[in-house]
Amino acid sequence: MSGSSSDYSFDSGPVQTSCADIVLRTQLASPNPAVIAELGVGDILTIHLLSAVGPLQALTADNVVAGAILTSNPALLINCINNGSEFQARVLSINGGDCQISIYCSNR
Amino acid sequence: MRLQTNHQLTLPWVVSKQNVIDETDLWKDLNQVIKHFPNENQELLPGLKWGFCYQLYTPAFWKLQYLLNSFSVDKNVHRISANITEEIVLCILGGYGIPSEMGMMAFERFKNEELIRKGVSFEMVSIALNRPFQVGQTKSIRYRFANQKAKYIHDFLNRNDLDVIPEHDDLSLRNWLMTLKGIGPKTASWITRNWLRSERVAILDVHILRAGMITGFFSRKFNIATEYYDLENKYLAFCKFLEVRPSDMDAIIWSYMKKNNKLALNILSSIT
Repeated sequence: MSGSSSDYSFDSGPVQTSCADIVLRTQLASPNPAVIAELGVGDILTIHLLSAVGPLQALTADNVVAGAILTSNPALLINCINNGSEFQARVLSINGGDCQISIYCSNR
Repeated sequence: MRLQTNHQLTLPWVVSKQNVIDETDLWKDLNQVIKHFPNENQELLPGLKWGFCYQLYTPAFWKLQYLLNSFSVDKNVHRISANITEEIVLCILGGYGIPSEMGMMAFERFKNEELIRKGVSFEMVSIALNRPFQVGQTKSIRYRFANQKAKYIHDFLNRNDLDVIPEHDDLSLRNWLMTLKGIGPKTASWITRNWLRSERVAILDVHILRAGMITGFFSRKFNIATEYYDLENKYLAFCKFLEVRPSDMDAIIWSYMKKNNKLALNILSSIT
């Protein structure tokens, strides 16, 4: 079975929500405790793609890594970023060392 | 075909009217599991580290995908057809060079026109496969290699041992399938995995091969024609140490790689 591009044009890429409309609520992975301790609900983080395979990182205004983005489908955001979309995340809650965020497109 | 069947327990994303994907409850359940993943620098296999589960295509990423996309224990979970004969025809139609969607359209035509039967004529099979297929409202496409595949299907359905296909043992079935014209180790493994949920075969198509090269359980240079079984052993070892069922892991990897085909190609071109 071929998954590579063919005359049939079946492999047109993932069918997904428009990048501009994505809102992803999730949590940070490998959170940096020192950075999390300085965050508050409502703070805005910038989503940064470290390499072609990720990880996706959440950066503070000072460009310090707060943590990585834990999501079941990192390719969703990576494809959007590769196509020019930019994302930010709003801190929803901080509970101990866990930080929940809401990711959204910032250049729609 | 590696279709998502009704037996697969898929991730129930909660999507609101504003296209909100809410995974917060998901991680509440899985946090403890993820925290017990091996350290990212620990080796799964010699030279292959676990990596982070939130980074694409690491072993830890595939382990997480396995946990998120579990299959039922039903032995028939990967079967697509009602019987082994249909499964074989379907896999011949969906084999090398044919996208899965095209293969499925051809199979549906064969079923609708009752062509999957002993003794079917070459003429009938060839006519069915050479007729254009309608895609959408305006597009019409032709099945590639129609005459060659028609010959393979005709030869199969006119064998005199169709009543004694060895379904009792997975490797016996695969060996028998490889006596069929047009079926090599990949298609034979595919049928065997589908029909018997075999955990002793690997379906090394382009998506699994790319995943292997990117993740690192395959080297970046190999000859699939001469090294199929060596690569299969590497895939099975990868699954063994990841503690996942090879049959299910294949379906999960294939689906993710196919959905993100362009991304995988870009990544592969940057590393090879």
